[in-house]
Amino acid sequence: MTSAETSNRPEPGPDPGGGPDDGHPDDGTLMAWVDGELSAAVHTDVEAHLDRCAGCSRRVSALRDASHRLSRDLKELDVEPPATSPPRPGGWRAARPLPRRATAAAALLLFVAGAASAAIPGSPVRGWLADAGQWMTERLSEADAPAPAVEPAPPEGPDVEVDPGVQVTPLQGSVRISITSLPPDALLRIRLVDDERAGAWVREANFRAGPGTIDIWGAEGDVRIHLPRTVEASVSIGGRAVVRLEDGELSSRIPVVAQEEDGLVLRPRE
Amino acid sequence: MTMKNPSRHGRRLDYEKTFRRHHPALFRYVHRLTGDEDVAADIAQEAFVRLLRNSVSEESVKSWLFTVATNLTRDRARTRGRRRQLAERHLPEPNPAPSPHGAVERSLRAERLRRALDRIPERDRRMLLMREEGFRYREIAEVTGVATSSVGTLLSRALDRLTEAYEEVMDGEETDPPTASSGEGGTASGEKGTT
Repeated sequence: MTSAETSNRPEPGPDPGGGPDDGHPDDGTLMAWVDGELSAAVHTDVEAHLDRCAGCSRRVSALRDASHRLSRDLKELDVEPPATSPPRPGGWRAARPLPRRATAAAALLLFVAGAASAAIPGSPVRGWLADAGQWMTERLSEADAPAPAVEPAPPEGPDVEVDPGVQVTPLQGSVRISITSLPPDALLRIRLVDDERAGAWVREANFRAGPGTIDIWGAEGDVRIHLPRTVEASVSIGGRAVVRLEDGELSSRIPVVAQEEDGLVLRPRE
Repeated sequence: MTMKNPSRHGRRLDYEKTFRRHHPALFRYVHRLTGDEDVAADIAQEAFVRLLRNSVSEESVKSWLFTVATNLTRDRARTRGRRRQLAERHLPEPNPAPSPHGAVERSLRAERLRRALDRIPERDRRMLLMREEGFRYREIAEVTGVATSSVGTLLSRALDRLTEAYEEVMDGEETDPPTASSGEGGTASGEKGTT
């Protein structure tokens, strides 16, 4: 969105602080609404305003579009983290492969020096070069090998969350979880918990959390969801409600792969 | 090894679990911030070294790590900035590496984003990247040193600036020769904007 788009919005009303009173919410309030950062009451007020104000709705769409584009393109920039272990006390650091640029520069230096020395007949450098060459070859192949991901977490039991995720407090006793899409073979694991907060975890995804809401997009892998058993909740995929929680009972509109004591495992694409 | 980092406030920290949980995001954040894989690995590692020497609660460890990493990135960029002033006049002409055919579009998008990110103020970049990591406004305010009530406004402006920067980058692509355009982002851009 550009300043031109912003200027298409009606002039703000008399509330210079940008609160969603009689006038239009300011950009900060709209951004906070998109991010679920407003209190429940203000969130509802802004929502009502957006229903009747095309200008502010356009601005919200522009903010969302810019945000989604950033999320999408950032993934193109990402690389795997290097294989590394936690640093230990005393300043010891886990070894990691030499940076490729440094390795290449060292190899070039060795080559030039070696070629010059090896030109001298009977030079002991010839034997040394053979050893050094072998060592460098080993280092280069090590550095060029694809870096494995950070060592996987050991099995710690089903309650330990090691995937990235978010947790939210229900809004007026209800929780809404919205997933844009899932890979074809991904599972949805829903568990009822005694915790007061709802949560969602995915190995890789973008999350947006607000009061009682979690939005997930770009999910790559199974989605694990914890719902407090006392709330009312809905889980939707691609805008379609697929699971509901009412009166402590889960109901599903998609195939159930397994029924567990405290939850369901579902396969949305079946 | 299960090593506990004692904390005066809040729950005690399980160091290895903390590392497993936060290291990938910390590395990703610094890499996105600097564009340099080696710098990101060093800074993420250094942040965890410092965690060993500090008493941090489990509740605040994520913000703490990102604050340390942000400061380390800034310090490093300052040092590198001074060195680069002397060195960059001798930089060779960039030589864009050929991309595999199927990856051209993704690579182009990544390069556009890198260059657009380099064009916006450092604080904007930090705030947008922290938001991407799922930080709440209170935490973003804590790390960047602004008022929580200003975070929404600053983020919306940062998104506007990034959108404008995208447009400038794309306009530049239309007017510049393709070689010059594709090379610029691949050399010093990594730390260009982190001063």
